[in-house]
Amino acid sequence: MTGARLAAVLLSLWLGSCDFPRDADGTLDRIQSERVLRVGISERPPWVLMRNGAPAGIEPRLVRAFADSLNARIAWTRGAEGSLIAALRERALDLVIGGFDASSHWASDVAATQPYVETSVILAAPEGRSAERDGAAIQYPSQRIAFAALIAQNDQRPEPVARPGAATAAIYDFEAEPFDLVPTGTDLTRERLVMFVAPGESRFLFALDRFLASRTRAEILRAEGTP
Amino acid sequence: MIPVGTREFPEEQERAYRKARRLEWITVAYIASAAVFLYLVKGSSQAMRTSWLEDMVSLVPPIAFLVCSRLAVRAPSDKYPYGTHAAVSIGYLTSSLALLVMGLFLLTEASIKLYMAERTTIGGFTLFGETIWAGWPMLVALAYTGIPSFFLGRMKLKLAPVFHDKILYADAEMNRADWMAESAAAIGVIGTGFGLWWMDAVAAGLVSLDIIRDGWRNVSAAVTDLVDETPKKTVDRSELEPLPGELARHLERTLDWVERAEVRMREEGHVFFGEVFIVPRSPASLSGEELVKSISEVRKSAKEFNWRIHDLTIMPVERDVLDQPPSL
Repeated sequence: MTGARLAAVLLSLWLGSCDFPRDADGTLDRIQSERVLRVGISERPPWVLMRNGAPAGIEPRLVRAFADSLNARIAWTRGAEGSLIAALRERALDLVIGGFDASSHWASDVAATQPYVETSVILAAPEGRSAERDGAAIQYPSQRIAFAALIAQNDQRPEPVARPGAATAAIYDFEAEPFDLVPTGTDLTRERLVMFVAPGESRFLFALDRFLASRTRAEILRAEGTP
Repeated sequence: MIPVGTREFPEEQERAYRKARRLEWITVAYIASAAVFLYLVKGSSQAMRTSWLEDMVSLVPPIAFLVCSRLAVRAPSDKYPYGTHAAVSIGYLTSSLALLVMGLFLLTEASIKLYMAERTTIGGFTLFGETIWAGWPMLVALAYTGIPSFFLGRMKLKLAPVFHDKILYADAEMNRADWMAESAAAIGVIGTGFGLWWMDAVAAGLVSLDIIRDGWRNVSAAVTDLVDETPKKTVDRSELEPLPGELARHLERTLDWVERAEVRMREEGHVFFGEVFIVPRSPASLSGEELVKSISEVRKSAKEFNWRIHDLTIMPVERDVLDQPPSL
């Protein structure tokens, strides 16, 4: 058995040294030689949003750090999800982010990372306030339209607000502290966030997976302070 | 109504049958566990999804064996005076169809992937804080599902002729299809690692052709079986079963009063049913009583000749009749 184990170790070392796994289209090599990472973004706060004309939010911050690790600058492209995915398939983009969930149907068209963070959408109320009164509206950050659907599915009335904090609201679990709210114990849904790369680019995907796994949850979700 | 025959198997065959049942239970448990393992590792890789579906199809022959072969060995009753031996043929047809479906499914998947130029991508897999290339756990899962299939298949292939069970044989073929498909998936994973995204589909496509050929061969055999074609040997179905001819010659040699014998048999699952036509050497000299005793002698001799001869109808006939078999 030791013979087989030794062979496995040697095999991994050898393969590791000769660029294993490889990209079907040499994406990672091209990024490192041309020093450009082409990223497509679709807004979904707080994961991806625009601030002062520049991409901001959890995922752009991660992607900037990733590009730094590759010694590359970023060429951002804004667009609708469908167009970005199509461009990614044609390898006109290297990476597409948009707060995508692992169950997104786009995952079958392109290659997805492992989920880099898991989070819940919860109901949280201001400190001291008892559980929501029947029939009372549940607030949600106005840009997150999907939350309205979640609240309605929970048989409650959604109310968009610019910034939650005044009453019971639907927010992500990591936003409870920044918004000064206390979780009520009700979970509306769970989300597992992924990023997309072009199909066939295993080396690039592996590098991205390794980078994302090296970040702790706290580092990833550091407060952004915007809805 | 006299039920035909008694026990299905003599001792040696009974032992083999019990061993086969154990093997099949092990197969069911093992495939179920492999399916769970693959599901956990599958990620978004096409190769892995396909492997998981294959495992489901692979469960059909073992279940067919456990159900049908059990039914087949039931003693005959008033309701089923011939017994229920043909349950084996039903199980064989079902298992052969499963094999054919497996091959067609693999070929379709592979063709679509190549036509749509769908590229397989394999990234990272995080386990206990370490992120490794997801291909490695995939290869482990494929080895876990592929290697035991290889050995289980071989064991079944050796057992099937002992008690002439075609479902077991078909399941051995399914095990072979399994480990070939898993090897193709493993080649696909390694190919993807080398940037050859199409390796997956090509390997699966090639293997599927072999499986389809296998499946088709077995389905034809099962169908001709059900319409009582001349029996063939279990494993090598290209050869005719020599037993009918051997029995006829044996009777002619060992029994004085038999001038000529012809045997016609049909397969009913594990066993043979048939007719023996005897031309007595000097019919005039045989009294009625002697004839009945002689015929019993033939019956005994025939059944001891081979365990598979389950029931025979012995018919004394006139000399010239054997040139043209009588139709009843």
